Amino acid sequence: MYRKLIPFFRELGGGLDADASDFITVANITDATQQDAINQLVLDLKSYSIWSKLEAIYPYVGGNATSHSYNLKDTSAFQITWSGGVTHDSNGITGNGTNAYGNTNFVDSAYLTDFISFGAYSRTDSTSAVFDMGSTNGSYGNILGCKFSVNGAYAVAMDGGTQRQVTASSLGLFSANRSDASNRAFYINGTEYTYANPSVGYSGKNMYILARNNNDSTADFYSARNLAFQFIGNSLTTTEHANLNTAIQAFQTTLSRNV
Amino acid sequence: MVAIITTEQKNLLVGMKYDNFQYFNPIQDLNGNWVISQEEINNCIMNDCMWVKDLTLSTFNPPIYEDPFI
Repeated sequence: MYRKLIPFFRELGGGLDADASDFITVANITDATQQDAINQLVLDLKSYSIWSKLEAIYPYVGGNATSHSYNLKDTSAFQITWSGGVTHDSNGITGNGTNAYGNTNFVDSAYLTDFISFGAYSRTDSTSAVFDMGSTNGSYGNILGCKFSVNGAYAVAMDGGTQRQVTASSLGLFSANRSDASNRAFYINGTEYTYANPSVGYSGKNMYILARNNNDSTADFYSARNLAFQFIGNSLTTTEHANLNTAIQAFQTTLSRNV
Repeated sequence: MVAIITTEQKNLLVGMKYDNFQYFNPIQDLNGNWVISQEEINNCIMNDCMWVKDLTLSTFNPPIYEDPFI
């Protein structure tokens, strides 16, 4: 019902959430379907009480490097700097597995207050020893590989170990979460897999996407996957991860790029 | 596919945009050669770097990264 009213309200100059409206303006999103998708995503994240916990939200809408660089949560913060051969289109961003990556300019230690959550929505099914986002200070950090090996997906969150989770494919939303000093969890399309592992601390390094920031010396483990959403924020609960998956799936479905 | 470039060419490209928003990212391949990607070459629109269009493409020999999970 609400979705059908959005175009009507837009013609009247209102109806859009203020944060959605800011992003739509700054990122120059002119397509009505994309505008509606962004607006509904913001409304969903707020209704689920997830919005306030996230610091960086990259919906990858607009089909070009500039539009894809903006942070939905705050268009004045954590704008992505693109390097190498990233491809931008209506399906989001795609790495080349050679030298393409984005620097979110987001440092976990500077902006997070309640541990961490981060994730990526992958539209590519592949098994590849690459990272879809990550930062390490050489000893520990935050890393996500949607399907790093035949043994499954890999995640590291504020530590130097790894959580491996068997997954049939690398399609959908893959998220890592650390909720306290002892536990972290992997979420694959909203399903939780817990893992006891002690936290060492924040990496203190910029989070890269489509690669890993290796202690600010270089990017490595370049991904060739097509990603249609990424986020970084404070720890989320099990229910919030499930709701986040629901919201993102609805968002991708509206954009006809769900997997 | 990638194009091998000299160290001098690499130094020219570091910090340079190939379009209005994206930067070149020369990396070293398995043999230590500096390379840039086919995508950077194809999408280059800046006058200062149009010379990359004349580079020869070759198959990429990826570097071997240390397994972070050992």
